[in-house]
Amino acid sequence: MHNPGTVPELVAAAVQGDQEAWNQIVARYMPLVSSVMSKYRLTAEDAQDVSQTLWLRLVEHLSEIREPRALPAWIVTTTRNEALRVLATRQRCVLVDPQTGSDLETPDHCELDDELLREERQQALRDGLAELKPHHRELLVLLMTDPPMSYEQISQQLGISVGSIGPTRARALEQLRSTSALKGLLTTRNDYEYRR
Amino acid sequence: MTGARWSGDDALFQELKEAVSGPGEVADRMLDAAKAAFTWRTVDTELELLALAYDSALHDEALVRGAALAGPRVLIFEGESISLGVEVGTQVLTGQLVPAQPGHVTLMTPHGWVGETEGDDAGFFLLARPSPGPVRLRCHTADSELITDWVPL
Repeated sequence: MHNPGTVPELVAAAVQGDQEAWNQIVARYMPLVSSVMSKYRLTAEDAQDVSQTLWLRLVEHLSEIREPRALPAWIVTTTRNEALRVLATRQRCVLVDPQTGSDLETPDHCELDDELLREERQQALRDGLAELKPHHRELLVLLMTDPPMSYEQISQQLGISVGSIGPTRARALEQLRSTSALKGLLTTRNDYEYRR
Repeated sequence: MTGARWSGDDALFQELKEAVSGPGEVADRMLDAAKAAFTWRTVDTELELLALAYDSALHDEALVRGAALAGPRVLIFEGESISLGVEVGTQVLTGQLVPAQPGHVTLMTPHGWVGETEGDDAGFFLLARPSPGPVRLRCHTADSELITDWVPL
């Protein structure tokens, strides 16, 4: 697996005008944007508008993101705001019950927040995996294949003994816990609001 | 702290597995648009960004609920010394620069420029409303160059 560079490196390069770094940021975080959007009932066109607005905003605000590890939280918050904005503008035309004037669709915010936190955590895990040393990352990736590979197959593929797979997995997970992505997850805990 | 979140290796490994099996395919069109967004990067440091500070569609519950009675959507962009209000009508966008001053106003979409006009001495201007999607306004006044955040109409 090609190591695509850390988020701080990609952000720094994109601020300097590196389109390729920007493309990598997009590739890395588009799954997060999509999964946040999937919690709302957006039409394909509205989803396109929300996504495009998010990325246009990020281009403009990239240089102001002081702590690049807070980027996933910024993306989640901004995507959610833009999804609510687009829904609100559309709902004014179609989704208000004329009898009561109440909204027909009221997202359950608690449930939503749980989902968003989960997505953010998963993004941090993907980022953390990318930060690991190749031999740790390769082992975890092989252990996660579906259908599962046997320890013998993994041993042959990586050229390590069957007996060392368990201890290496434990070390790899320990390294994963101390990656900047997972540490960033903890430091951005109270950092949810859209900051300028 | 981190250890508490995934109390054991198996819990951490299981969630990692879910994370990499991922949220699935992403439309190519959306990816292309996201990559192309980079061409809108503002390199002109003289340009002042007016941030979206208020959007009646999001902030005013009464407007959302009383759709039939509500007036047009209102957007307010704020900069350090100037603000720009825009009322989104069905056919036109009515804008005003505060403090009042004339200026040349350009309306842009991700596909490029779609309209321009001259604001009067009171800072008012009118532009035809474009089709739905993100837009931004750029204003050239006697002493500043301003550009707003992107906002979907």
